[in-house]
Amino acid sequence: MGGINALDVYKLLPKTNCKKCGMLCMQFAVELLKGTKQPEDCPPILEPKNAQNLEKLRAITEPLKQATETGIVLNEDACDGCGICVIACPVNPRFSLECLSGKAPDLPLPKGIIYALEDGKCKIKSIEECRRYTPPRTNCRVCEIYCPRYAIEIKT
Amino acid sequence: MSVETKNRMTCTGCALLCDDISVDVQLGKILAVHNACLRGSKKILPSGAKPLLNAPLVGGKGASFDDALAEAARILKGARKVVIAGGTHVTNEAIAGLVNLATKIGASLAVPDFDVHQQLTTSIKKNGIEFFTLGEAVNNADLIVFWAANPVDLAPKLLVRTVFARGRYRQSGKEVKKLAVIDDYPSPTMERADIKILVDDQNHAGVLDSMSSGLAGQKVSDPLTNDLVEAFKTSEYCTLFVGEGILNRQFLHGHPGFLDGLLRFVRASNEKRRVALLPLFYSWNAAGVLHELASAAGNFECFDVLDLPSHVEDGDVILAFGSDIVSKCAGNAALAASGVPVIAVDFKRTPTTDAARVVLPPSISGIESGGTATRLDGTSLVLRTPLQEPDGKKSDAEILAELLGRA
Repeated sequence: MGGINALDVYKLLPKTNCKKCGMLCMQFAVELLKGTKQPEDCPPILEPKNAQNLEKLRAITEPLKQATETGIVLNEDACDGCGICVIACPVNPRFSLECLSGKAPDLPLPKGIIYALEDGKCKIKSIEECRRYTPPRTNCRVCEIYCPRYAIEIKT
Repeated sequence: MSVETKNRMTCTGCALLCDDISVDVQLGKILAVHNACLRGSKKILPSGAKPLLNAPLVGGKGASFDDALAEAARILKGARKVVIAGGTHVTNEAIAGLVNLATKIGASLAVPDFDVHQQLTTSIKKNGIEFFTLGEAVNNADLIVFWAANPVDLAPKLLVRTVFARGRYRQSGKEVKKLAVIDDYPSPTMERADIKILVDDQNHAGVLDSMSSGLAGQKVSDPLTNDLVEAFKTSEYCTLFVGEGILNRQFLHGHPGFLDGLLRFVRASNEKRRVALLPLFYSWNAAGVLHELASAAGNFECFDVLDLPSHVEDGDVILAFGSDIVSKCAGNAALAASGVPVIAVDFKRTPTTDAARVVLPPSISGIESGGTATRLDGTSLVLRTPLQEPDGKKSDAEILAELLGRA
């Protein structure tokens, strides 16, 4: 399921833009990934001809419903402190502008920073700010996708 | 006593010279390093695996700095010829001192990778070159290519400082930057690249030919190379890092026309889009040596440190400056064992310091003593150090100045 984005979900929708769910199909795809809408909220997808796509959508959204925590597993032994997770994380720049330019934040770490490097290893500092944790939860996997050492795994 | 946190220190772990390092210090000791990679942390943190030298040695026995300097000067004065080896692990000031010393006493310089630098210089003179800075890679580049370079292992934060950084004209960072890796083996850098090209039998010239013909409008048979050609065509600014896989003397001797071809390709590509190239050397001040040698007015012989045995004869003296020459090649080890006097300037115990007649340990550049160094893109940086220089120790530049005065 790694790397699924709104466009992948949109491709599985009927793409009629009928607004029976109250919005356009692309917006509905985004809401599905956030977990605020369910596939069944789209009336056209319940039609028999879309049954296969409905199954695929359920397979995508089901783990999101179950996820109560982020599911991030960090293997420190594999980490070599390249800092990609620190900079690529979409949340970190919100709390530290230095992250935008590829540099790590000064100490003391700003509150809310998720990833930081300590003695050459990545550490999770404040998981509660992760986009997978706070509502509306998104299926963000940026840190897992880009880690060159496969030290970050998301188990949901 | 409370722990003091020092921000924005410089890391001398590799040529990237990261200047966003934070260090926790208590009573003159480093307790923790923040924001550095594993390689940088190992350089900065005190460790039992890195035996440090605290006092000068003469003939294997402890001595004062004054005695050791006097003995070193005596050996240098009595030498038929002096060969100064090293230069890539010392500050710019020390490199300038090395060049001055070589000019003053007519010494030769043995520089790591000098053979490769020479071939690069010759090729650049013939074909011209477009360099870029890390700032340009951050702000302008939308295609970043690592050719036979594996920064994840050798300069771990280089990807963060180029590909993932969000720049002025590339505000979404990696989302709008493509990463392509061309290499002989599936390196960790290649793991997460958008375009991965595995080269068979070191046939880098074949890839270069395919790309050249693809950009000229011809069909490219290999789909991956075709992807790269398409990425080139659609990019506005391509930065090309060239690494150790092709910048080594074995490859360059085996493929003599490759560097010329690569530089010609970069220049030709510039007609339609901006393409720039940066050679990667990972010793923390390798670029400093290049700059100093390029601007040196002195007239002295310079050669590759691997060729040391063929340039040293009986009666000569080797001054190993911040370089473990004995470990570089078996020939050097034999040379040191044959009785050619070695004067070593190094802060840690190495096979070279063990074989040296005089050892002068400087303070650790970037940790205990400052100065300037040149980053891999040619930008000079001031080294900000977390610790103060211990009493009785001298920096590499100070030791060199003393030697220069006495020799």
